[in-house]
Amino acid sequence: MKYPLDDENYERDIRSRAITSQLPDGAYVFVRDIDGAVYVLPDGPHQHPKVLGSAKPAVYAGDFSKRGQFVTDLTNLSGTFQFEDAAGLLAVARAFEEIGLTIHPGAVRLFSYSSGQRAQILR
Amino acid sequence: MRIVILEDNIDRQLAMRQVIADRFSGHILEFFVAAQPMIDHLSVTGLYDVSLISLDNDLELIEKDGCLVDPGDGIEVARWIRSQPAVTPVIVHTTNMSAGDQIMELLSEAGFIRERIVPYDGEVWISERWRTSVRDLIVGTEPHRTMSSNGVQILRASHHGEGSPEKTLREILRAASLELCGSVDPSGLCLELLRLRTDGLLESVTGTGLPVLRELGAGATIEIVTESADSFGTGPFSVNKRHLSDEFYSHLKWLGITQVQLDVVQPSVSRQAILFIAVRQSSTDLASHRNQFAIREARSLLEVAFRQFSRRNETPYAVHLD
Repeated sequence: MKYPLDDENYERDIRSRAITSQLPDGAYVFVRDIDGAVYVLPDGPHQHPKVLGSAKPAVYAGDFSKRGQFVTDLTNLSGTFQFEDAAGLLAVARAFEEIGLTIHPGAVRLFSYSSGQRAQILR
Repeated sequence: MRIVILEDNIDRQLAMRQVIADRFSGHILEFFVAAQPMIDHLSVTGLYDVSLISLDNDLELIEKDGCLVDPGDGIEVARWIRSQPAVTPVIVHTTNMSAGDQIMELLSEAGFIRERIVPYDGEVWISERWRTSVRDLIVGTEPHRTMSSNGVQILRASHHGEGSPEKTLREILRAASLELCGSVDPSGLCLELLRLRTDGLLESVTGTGLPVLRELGAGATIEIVTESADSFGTGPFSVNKRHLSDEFYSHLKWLGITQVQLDVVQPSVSRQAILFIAVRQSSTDLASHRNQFAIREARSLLEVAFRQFSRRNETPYAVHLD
């Protein structure tokens, strides 16, 4: 669990919602809360702190792109949360699949915040 | 990993820093306000740990020792970049339309993935267009360059009076095959370059030696990744004389290979060339999916090699591999 590095008390964005397979196509940021629910917002500048709001902690965060029922990329990119464990990102991928989304082969990409290594494709 | 930007406007730099910090805070951000220092720096570091380059063109004169110094421009940097292997995407962000066109053309000829953004409305374009382009280009390309030795191989390419591009390609393919075999799947994966003949048959560019394929032995499944599968359709098909040249057909039969899997992917290195990939597994099992990244990696390797040849009008090359 991590608290956002930006601890400003942002309000929760009114567009924040639990992910569903009916989400319109597009680019999104996501935050997984401490209960395991994944909430999303349309991608935009500095959106992660506003997904849960109130500087609430998260168990994972990142962004993704959706086309139809396919998730075409899914990453751990979030400057304010900076999760970098592969298991957490793979767990998010499974959560996406459980609601009926299909993860495109090669879509799950783990970026490093600490090692300077290039990104890895997890699955 | 680094993001390298030619931009002398402080307000733009600040907005760009915010964008990078929001998503790519693990990347090192390097700004340059003049062309030559950027070229000098990249000449030392190379491009293989650069996730993205973003180029402005018109730069303010720089005051140095009481004199105004010409900082050069984005075109100068683009001319240097095009002499390098096309291993990093480039954004061209300038309002100078003719210079922007020229940079795009330079990079296009050298095979770089590039994107043009014309700035608008102060720094608004940075949080809108530039932000999404940075994200998509890095997410789309950075993981595909996981094998640093690919770059090393191409960097070590040098003129050689003898040999041929095909011989060089064969060497590259063999080295890549062996490396991929070791790093991706212990049971093996190999590469071969095929050519689509005018009569519609596939033949091996490198002859029928197929040294790595031989190591896979009987029972291997073959995947052919091509940009144009019109002649074949997609999915598995049996090794047959209708699709393969006599020589190639005979060789596959001799190896005991009975089935070919054809997949369609994004446009490949050349309309004449097809990357041929053999794996032990069927294309539908998990191990084969794991190999997909290696397939992309191999394609990337070939793209770099082909650009090296085409840039020099197919001057024969020799690649020295350790």
